[in-house]
Amino acid sequence: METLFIEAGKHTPEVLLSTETETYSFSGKSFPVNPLPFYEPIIEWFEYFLKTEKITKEIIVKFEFDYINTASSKQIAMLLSIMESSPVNNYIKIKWHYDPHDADILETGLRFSEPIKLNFEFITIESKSR
Amino acid sequence: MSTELLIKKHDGITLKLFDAIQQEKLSYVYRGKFTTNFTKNIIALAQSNIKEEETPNRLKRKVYHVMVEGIQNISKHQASNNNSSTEFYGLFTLKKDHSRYFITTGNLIENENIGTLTEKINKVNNLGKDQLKKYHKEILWNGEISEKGGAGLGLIEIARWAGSKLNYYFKELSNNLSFFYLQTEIVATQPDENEFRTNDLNSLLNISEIHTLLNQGNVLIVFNNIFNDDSLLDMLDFLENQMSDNNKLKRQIFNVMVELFQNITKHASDYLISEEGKCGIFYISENENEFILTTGNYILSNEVRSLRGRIFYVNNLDNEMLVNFFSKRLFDFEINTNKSSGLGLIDLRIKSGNKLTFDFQKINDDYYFYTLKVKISKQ
Repeated sequence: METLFIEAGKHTPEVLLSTETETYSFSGKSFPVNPLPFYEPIIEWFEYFLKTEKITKEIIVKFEFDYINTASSKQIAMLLSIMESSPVNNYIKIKWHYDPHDADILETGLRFSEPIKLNFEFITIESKSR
Repeated sequence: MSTELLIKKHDGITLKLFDAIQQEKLSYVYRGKFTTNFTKNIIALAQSNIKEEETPNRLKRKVYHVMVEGIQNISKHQASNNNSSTEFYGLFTLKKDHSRYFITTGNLIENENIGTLTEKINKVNNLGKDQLKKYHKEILWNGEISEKGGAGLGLIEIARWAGSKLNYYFKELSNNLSFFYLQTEIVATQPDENEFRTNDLNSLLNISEIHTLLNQGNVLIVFNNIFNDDSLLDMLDFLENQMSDNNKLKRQIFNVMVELFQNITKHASDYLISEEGKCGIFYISENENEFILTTGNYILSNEVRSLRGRIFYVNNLDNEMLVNFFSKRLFDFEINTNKSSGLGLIDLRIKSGNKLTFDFQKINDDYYFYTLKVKISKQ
């Protein structure tokens, strides 16, 4: 499936979705006023991927946000819900990276992991100043 | 505490400030101690405001120089008093009226210095372009340099870069002290000899009034501009550099600011709107125990009831209920219009840890002015 790579913008994270290298990652800041146009192609990519690819081994989706606004949270919630409702949801693992000094990012992740029945792993990252 | 007690009965400061600043077309207003770090930051922020293509490079350079000189002027002279009390904080504003830029500074001076200062300004104002250049050289080589290094060189520089007269006003505070306001227009095209434009005193009187309002509310910075993604970034950068000592507090303010800014971007009505985005006001004030972030913007009358209801509702939830309510809204995809998720208000409550203060002031049958305040405790 075609790789989707989006460079980090001023308000948007870097996104790399590649079946070839088996990388599914989000990193950086996400706080556009209207995140819909940004997340729409990403959500469509995942929908297509989960529907058409033959998935037989673990898929690790990595989130490494420095900052995420509520409007973007909503889009991530949508994305996670789509993964959860996929028949291959057992293969999906969410790695949620967070700066141990930033309680907000961890809390955001916990808000997702509670209602979403996917395998979540929380990983601390080296502290970096924002 | 009941929520009712949190609603101030139309103190109207936000609207008053918004109206005054809007009328004067001030993009940014800063009030504070003009330290080196602060100076660097406000110049960067003001510059980000004039980086648009339409502004020619030469004008940008001029604005930059006048800002630097003007602020240095404040920082040099503000210290001449032992009055570091916040009511004597200096002021810096950038006014943008289409492609005309005005810079106004305000600082405390001792009344005994008013005479000399007025003389210096008048001298500068009476000189044409070439004469100024000559005078500059003269002072540079022969001038009596005062303790503060000011033989009026700063004033000459400001006038030369700006290409306009120095407009000034002294507001007496006491027998010993006054605020000194200095305004210059930065003229895009070099005027002919003796054709410097004169500014009007009204603007300075208005700015002095604004300064008084800011002092009353202990406001540190006012952003009155177009609310969009880019202006948010500029403000965040400013804050990032400005508050370097307390990371946790900084992050909290950062978070609250993003949601407040975006709240305006999304919800402000079109009562006042420009092509680039929604209009409104955002300011940060401070007291001993907390920072207070305030937004003010117009909304449609028919939205007041439901908005008021929503704020009442989130104000009455305890922390656990807030988190649950947030999750519920987060995963409710029926409300995915980006506008009405209601997550912003809940998030403001959670992240600030305080109740929201709000006010709706009727403008006319169709519009209200909506003020929202978020308090962030320093401890």
